[in-house]
Amino acid sequence: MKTEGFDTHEGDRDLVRRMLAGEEDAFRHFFEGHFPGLYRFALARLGHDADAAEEVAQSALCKVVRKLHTYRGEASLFTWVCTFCRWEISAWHAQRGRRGVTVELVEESAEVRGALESLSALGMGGPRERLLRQEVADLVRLTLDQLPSRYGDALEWKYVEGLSVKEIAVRLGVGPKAAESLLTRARQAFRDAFATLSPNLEGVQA
Amino acid sequence: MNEHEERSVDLGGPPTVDSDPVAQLVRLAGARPPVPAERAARVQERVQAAWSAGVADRQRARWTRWGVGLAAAAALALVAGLTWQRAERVVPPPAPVASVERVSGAATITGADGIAQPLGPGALVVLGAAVATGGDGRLALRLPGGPSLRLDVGTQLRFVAPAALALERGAVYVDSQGGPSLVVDTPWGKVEERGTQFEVRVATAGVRVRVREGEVELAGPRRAWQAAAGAELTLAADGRLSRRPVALHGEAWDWVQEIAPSYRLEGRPLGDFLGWVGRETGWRVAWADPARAAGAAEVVLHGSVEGLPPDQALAAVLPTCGLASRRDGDTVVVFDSR
Repeated sequence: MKTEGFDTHEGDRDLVRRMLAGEEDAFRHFFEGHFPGLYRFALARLGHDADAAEEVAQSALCKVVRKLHTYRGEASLFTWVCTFCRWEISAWHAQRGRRGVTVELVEESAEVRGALESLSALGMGGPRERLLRQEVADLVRLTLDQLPSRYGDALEWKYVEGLSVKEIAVRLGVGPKAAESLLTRARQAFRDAFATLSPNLEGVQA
Repeated sequence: MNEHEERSVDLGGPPTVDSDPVAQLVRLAGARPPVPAERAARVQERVQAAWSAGVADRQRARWTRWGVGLAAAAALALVAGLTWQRAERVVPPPAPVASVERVSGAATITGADGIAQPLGPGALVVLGAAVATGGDGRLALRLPGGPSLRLDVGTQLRFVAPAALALERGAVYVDSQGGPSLVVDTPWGKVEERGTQFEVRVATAGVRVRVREGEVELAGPRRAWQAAAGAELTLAADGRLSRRPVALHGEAWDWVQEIAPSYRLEGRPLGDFLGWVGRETGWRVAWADPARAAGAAEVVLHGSVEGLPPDQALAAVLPTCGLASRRDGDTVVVFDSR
């Protein structure tokens, strides 16, 4: 599970220390907290080929757990894990004689700003518009995966499932005020992370 | 296969108008698709095997360094003791006698403080500590010099000396692998081995010993009995002994395979791998063409069979060498498939 020590990564460092000590619980927290996001990270870069994403995410995680002792906490654990995954994705393409992803992701595009701004003007659109929506959606999911898990979940519950603050509070096991406060922090964390992933995006300025 | 084609996100529909851009974006993306459970389980099993192997490697390296340090410390202590005999006696910490190689389910160690701690891969077992497995737990330990000790479900034991353990309940399997002999003491008798593989299981009614390779001696209060490979001895609480044959492979030994430490395939010769398969399964591994056996040492394997039991590892590796196998009674015959 990604922790809320978002800035210092102290929670990530502690998790890694416990994994290095052989704590099974720590491994389970690590896997359950990171695999789904990593799988989606790979899926978006492998043309939504589920088998390839599984293969690549597994290969990346196997390397990560062998190199855990080199983690210094300079980036979040998920970001660090993603660097292994990027390498595996490149290797996957190289092995198959392909020249990298054919779908350029928004986070790597210089045209993102204009693209996002134009989203509201898009109707059903043609293939290019659908692709653009897909890319932005992938980036949003990546951002949610980068957040502490309670933040990502709370934002989804609020805006996708349409739960009230009271209902979110029940799911989180906290009071309504604490849930409201967490949602505020989650929105801010989302804006920060999204801006980091796509620095040219101004569509999410508060 | 692409189950994500069925995602619920309607990326083609008009975006929801919302004053909060975060809300707008999150709605646009929709719920993050969950990872199919069978994919997650598959990956978790493989990654956990890699993690466990890494933890065990680091622990072994630390243990080796510690051993060297302990030897040096012991030499210094001897010198110090000789030159300053009135020095206050220092109680040394309990010596490690084994390291955990693999855990399945619940397993704990209880030290002198009486507090049970969960055991994980790479943990050290010290002299005198009680090691126990739960109703769903199995454990593989590695002893200095190479012997493998495996604990079945519901087992409790305590190392009483570096190569001697008291089995209080449940069952252990010992594969000495040419290392030092291990003595297993039970309430009903003591089992001593001579370069072998065997299982000892205790119950309230007595102790049962099954020998898979080599020879063991079962010593009761009044006399001792020998047993060779393929023999099963049962010493009842009233001192009566019964003896019967036991198969060298099959169901009786399944639990041993289930907790077998993974084989490190990368860079190892094929002959070594086949030897491991034979040792773990109890099968005799033979070549259809005996002339090929000599060449097996020159075939170097690459990749990983981490997490695979020996029979599945064999099925995975042979095709990569252009080989296949068939069962012929107690023997697995390896032949050229090309």
